[in-house]
Amino acid sequence: MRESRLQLFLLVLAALFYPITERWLAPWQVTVDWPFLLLFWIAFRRGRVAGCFYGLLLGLLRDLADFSQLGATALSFTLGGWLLGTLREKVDRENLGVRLLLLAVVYLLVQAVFLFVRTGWSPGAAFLAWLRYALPGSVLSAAGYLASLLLAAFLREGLGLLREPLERR
Amino acid sequence: MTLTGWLRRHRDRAVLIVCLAVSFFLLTIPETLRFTLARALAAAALAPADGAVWLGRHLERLRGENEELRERLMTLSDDLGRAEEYRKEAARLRRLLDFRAAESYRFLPAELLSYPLSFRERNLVRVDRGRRDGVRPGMPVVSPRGLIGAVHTVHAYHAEVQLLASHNFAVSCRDMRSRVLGVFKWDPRRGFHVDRVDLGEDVQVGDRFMTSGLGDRFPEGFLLGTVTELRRPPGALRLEIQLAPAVPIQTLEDVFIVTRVSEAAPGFPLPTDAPADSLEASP
Repeated sequence: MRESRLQLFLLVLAALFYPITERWLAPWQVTVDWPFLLLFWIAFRRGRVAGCFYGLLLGLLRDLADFSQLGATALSFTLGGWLLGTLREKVDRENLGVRLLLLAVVYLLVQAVFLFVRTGWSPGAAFLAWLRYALPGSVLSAAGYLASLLLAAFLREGLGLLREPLERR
Repeated sequence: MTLTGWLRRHRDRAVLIVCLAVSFFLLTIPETLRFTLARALAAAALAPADGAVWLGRHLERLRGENEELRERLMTLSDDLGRAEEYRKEAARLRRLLDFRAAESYRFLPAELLSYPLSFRERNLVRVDRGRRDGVRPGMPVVSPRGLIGAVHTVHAYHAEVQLLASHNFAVSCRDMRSRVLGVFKWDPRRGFHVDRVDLGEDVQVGDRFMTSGLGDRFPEGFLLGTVTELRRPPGALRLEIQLAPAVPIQTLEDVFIVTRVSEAAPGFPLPTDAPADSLEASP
C-alpha cells in the first residue's frame, strides 16, 4: 500500500470518528478538523473539481450534526476545496512546509467563510471568539496532517518489515 | 456555443456553481423545511451507522439474554436433578407406605346407611359394606378423627357397627403425653371415661387418650378422646377421668373399616373365622 493511500485511509478513519473527538477530545474547544484534512488530501491531489464536490459532501455531512447550520459548512468546504484545487497548481506540492502552510491558511479562510455565513455576514463580537478557536485550530490541523503523514510512513515501514520475511520465502 | 459545450469546456466552474447553488439553497430554505430536510438526509446518511449501532445493541441484548437463559437453564437442570431425586425418594416412601399399609392396615371406606334412634338404647349404626366386601365381625371402624367402634354384625351387603358408646365396650388406651395405660369405657351414668388409672399416675386435663394396641382388639394409635375432668374421690384408689369423645357421633360422616391388620401389629388378631351373618361379634 502506498504511503499516500495509507494516509487517506487514516484520514477517513479519523474523519469518521470526528464527532467523538470533537466532543470528548477537544481541550479549550479546539480540535483537529479531520474532515477538512481529508478534503485537503483529496483536493490537493485530485484538483478543484474533486475538491469542490467532496467539499460539498463532507460539509453536508458535518452540517448534519447541527441542523441549524445546514449548508454553512457545505458552502465553506466547497469554496475551500475549490481554492485548494486551484492553488495546488501554483505551489510546490512536494514541499511539506508549503503544504502545511497552505493547509493552515485555507483552514482559516474556510473558518472565516463559515463565520460570515453563520453570522449573516456581520460577525461583530463573534470574530474574537472565532479567533480563539480558529487560529489554534489551524495549527492543530496542520499538526494533525503532519501526524497522519508520519503515522502513514511508520505504518508503511512496519508493513514492509512484516512483508519482507514473507517475500524471502 | 451551446450549454452542453460550455459545460464541457468549463466543467470545473460548472461543478463549482452547482455545489455553491446547493449550499446556498440549503442556507436559504425556511428553517422548518431545513430541519425536515436535514433530518431526512441524516437518516439516509446515518442509516448504516444506525443499523450497526442497533445491531451492536441487539447483539449485546442477545448476549445478555443468552447468559440469563444459560443461567436459568443451569438452575432448571439443577432443579430437575433434584426433582428426580425427590421423585425417587417419593416413590421409595410410597413403596414403604404401601408396604406398611399392606402389612398393617387396610381402610375400606363405608357410607352410613342409618343412625341409631337413641344412643342410649341401641348404639349401632349401619354401613353399606358387608361380607362381599371382606368385612368381618370385630373389625375396627374409624374416622379420620379417631376410633368409632367395631363391626358387630355382618350381612351380605351391609354391616352393623357397634359404637364406643356401648356399656359393654372397653378399649385398652394410653395417655399420649405420659404413656399411662387405662381402659376406655362408656356407661349411661358417667359417659366416656378412663378406668383403672391409679391415683398417683400422671394424667392432666387436656391429655388425649388413644388406643394402646393391647387387649387383642384394636390396633395402636387411634384417638379416643380428651380429658375434660379429673377427680380424686376421697378414699378411692383410682382416678376418675372424664373424656370428650374424639369423634362426636352426631357429626359422623365418613367411616373406614380396618379390614386387615398384620400379625406384626401389636396385640390384634385378625378375626377371620367369624360366621358371615353372625349376630354376635367378639365383644
